[in-house]
Amino acid sequence: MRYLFFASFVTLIIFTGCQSIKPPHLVSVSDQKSAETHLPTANCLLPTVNCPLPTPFSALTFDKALFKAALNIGEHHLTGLVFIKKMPDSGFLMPDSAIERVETHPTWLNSYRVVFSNEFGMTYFDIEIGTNYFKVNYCFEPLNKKMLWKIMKTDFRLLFASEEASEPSKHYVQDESNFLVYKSKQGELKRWDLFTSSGDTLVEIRGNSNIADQALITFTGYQNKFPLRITLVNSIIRLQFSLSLLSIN
Amino acid sequence: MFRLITILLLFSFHIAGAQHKSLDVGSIQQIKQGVALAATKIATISSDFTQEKEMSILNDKIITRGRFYFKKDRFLRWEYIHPFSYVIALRGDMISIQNEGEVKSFNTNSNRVFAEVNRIIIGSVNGTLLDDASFTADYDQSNGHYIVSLTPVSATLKENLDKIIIYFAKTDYTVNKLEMFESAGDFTRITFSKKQLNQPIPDEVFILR
Repeated sequence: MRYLFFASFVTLIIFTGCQSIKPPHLVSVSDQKSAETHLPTANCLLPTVNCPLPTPFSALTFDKALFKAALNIGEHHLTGLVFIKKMPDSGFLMPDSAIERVETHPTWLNSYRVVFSNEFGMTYFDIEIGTNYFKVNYCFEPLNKKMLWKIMKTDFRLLFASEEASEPSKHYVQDESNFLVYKSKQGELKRWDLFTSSGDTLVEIRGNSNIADQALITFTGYQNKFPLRITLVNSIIRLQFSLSLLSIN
Repeated sequence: MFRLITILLLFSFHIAGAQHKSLDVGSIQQIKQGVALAATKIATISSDFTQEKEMSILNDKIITRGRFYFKKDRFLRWEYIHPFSYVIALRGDMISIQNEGEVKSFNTNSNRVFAEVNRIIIGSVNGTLLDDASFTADYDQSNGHYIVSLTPVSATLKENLDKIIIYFAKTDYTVNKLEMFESAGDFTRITFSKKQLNQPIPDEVFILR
């Protein structure tokens, strides 16, 4: 009986944990012709010299942004403000695969400082992230858990360090939504970027390195080419970090 | 060497900024009595506030503004108006938060941060914070203020908070300014303005629905 319970538990973990972060209903496209068959309105589905990759979040033009924020982890609920500041080039090591792309996207050289504080101004965490660089400058003790930060590091790398990613290895069109989907590798992470069919608006980033750090980041309500709402979700640990834009420079 | 230079620089800034006059035991006693006496006379306070969070290294500030209400003994309302709408209301040990149209209520004892912040705010209004065993107090004065610097005693509080500086107006012993210095180097200044004392405030102000 005890073994049956254990087997059921393992099966549950396997089934829930192995639920892939890969976007559903993807149709692989290998050339522009097959792309046009699936999505006739797409101007350029496969990146070429005349048809560059869509802009990732980290290449959007902004120096600093202030968000209203809510972090839910299981039953725990924290609210406050998130301040993101693009830092000048800190000379972080660039991966070879990114060098060529950096020349066409100079903003990718930047690193970011992300500070989350409560409404009274007390800091929950203060992190710095750049290409191949991640540092927790400060973390409020109850949040200072190694496992939590391993997972949140994946979230922040997907969001801010897209220059670590390789050129997309596969291209897809998602049925029904007609989103363009690019699959790439970002270090040990598998990464999917989903753009609208016109290819100019980032809708989702999905990625993970293992079962525990499966991340889904959604971008909604664009205004002046910047998302008004960004939501980071790690379903395995029931983490949701919601950011609503207050101001941007 | 770098460390030595940093210490010297910090020390020189400290000297440059130290325009306050230290106080003797008699004056300290006078401040405590003044704050305690004001607390007995003040039934309500309403004011505007400006909150500035300065982040170390970033050379940037987050500025928020709102309305503050206090009613004896333990009624408190922080209403953030700009750049976002957010209300915290305290009634005894119960705290309610209104965020994006949704109201959540819980006991302050279940949230250490809120419990501490409210203890500090209410304690500085009614003067009990000056004799709070959780802090050691240093007293100074400037032209318009009695300045009380509170340093946490407990290791747990020290993890987050380096010190709190409270500026009491010399005219009526009410709090004009509050500065919270975090262990991480950031600091938050709350400045109260357009203060109104002992004006009626209905209990409904502290109830969020």
